[in-house]
Amino acid sequence: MERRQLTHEIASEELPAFALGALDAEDSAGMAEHLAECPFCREDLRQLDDVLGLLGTVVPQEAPSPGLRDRVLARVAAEAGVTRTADRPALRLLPRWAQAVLATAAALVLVLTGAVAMLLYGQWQIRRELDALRAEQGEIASILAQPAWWAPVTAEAGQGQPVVGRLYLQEGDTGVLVIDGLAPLVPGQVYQVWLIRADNTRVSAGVFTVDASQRATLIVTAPGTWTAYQGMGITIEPGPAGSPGPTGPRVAGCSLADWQSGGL
Amino acid sequence: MAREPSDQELMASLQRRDHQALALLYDRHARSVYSLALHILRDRAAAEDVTQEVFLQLWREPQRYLEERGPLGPWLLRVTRNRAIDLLRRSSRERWPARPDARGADLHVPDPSPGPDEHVWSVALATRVHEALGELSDAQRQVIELAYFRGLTQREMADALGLPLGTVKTRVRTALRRLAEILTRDGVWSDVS
Repeated sequence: MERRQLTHEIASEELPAFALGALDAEDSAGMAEHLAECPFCREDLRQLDDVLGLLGTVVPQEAPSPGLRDRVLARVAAEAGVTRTADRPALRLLPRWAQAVLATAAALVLVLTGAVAMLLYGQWQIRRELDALRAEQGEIASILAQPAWWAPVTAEAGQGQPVVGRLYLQEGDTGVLVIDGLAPLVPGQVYQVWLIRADNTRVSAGVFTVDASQRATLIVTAPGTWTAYQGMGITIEPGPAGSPGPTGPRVAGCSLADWQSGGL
Repeated sequence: MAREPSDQELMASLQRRDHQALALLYDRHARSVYSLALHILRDRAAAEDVTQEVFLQLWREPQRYLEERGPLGPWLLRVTRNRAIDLLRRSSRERWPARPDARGADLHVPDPSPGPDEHVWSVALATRVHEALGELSDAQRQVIELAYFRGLTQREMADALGLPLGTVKTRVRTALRRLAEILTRDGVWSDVS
């Protein structure tokens, strides 16, 4: 679908509503495209965002229950324990927070897919972390059950095995993409993740490569929130930064339609 | 007496996976984060869930904050607002189109009432922002309230208020621009950092 390009004047007029999240999905998509190209509007948006942060102070103040502090810090302490373990070959390129997420994702896959997950589990050699993972059951439960949602990422025809990974979404704008089964690329190429808006426009959500065992794990952050997107696709693009819009063949993807209608 | 570490220093410690730093940041900001979530969601359990997620995200992905720069407090409130509104929109779906509503009772600007343990930045700021909101017209405050605290789109506001979409768009634009102008004029940023 061809979309009318926003002029700078119109974009500038609609920027306050965009910052407030008060535009309809299609108008938001047009604005996101303009922002990608316009440094003036990006700076303008940054200043409006600052104002919106300040606006959050103007509410009656009330303290949360003391128990909440204990729960948050217990979770953090559990995660801190996990991430102190030594790096492993399959994980060493990931920052430590991503390793914690990966460990969580591994346990999630285990629950959901049985035998396949056992294989992953063994190959990642995280047996030493089993105890720590058990301590993290609350953590896993929150990503799984807290209006969390996941979908299998399926390969396009002719790309080998049909399921090449999973996408796990948390409430808001954050998700974890776990890839297991995309072929390693030649040097100079990367896989690029695209989030697909309701009107079929694409927004880049980052690039990645896979290791020799065809795996990768990355955090995917949606501009705005997940509800603005109907799907996710992966293409092969020139590295290291990828492309502004998809140019290479689509190799895999998944629908976010269920998430849009309310998720789990 | 030892100087209290700044938010920036605590964030640097957080990057080094010092979980004590998170405890200090929690003590400093949890009240304002929770209060905003509670004001939006009107549900203590849901507001605590959002608060927990905001601080866990800060722990897991501290670099997301550093990349964006600016003072931590307002940034946390933006993250909180987005999460809470997302939850509100999702949980409200079944009730629509009964919602959106534009009940008059929601449209006042609440007075900040900081407690004794509240971190100083949000107390000073709440007063300044409250005064700035007071310079807007009632109609301008109304659209900011509906969009920011209730998560309504311009189209939903037009339906709820029985106004043409163009009128709502103009109000939203002028309201937020005016608010930004007043806060900049009053040098509010020097209170934040």
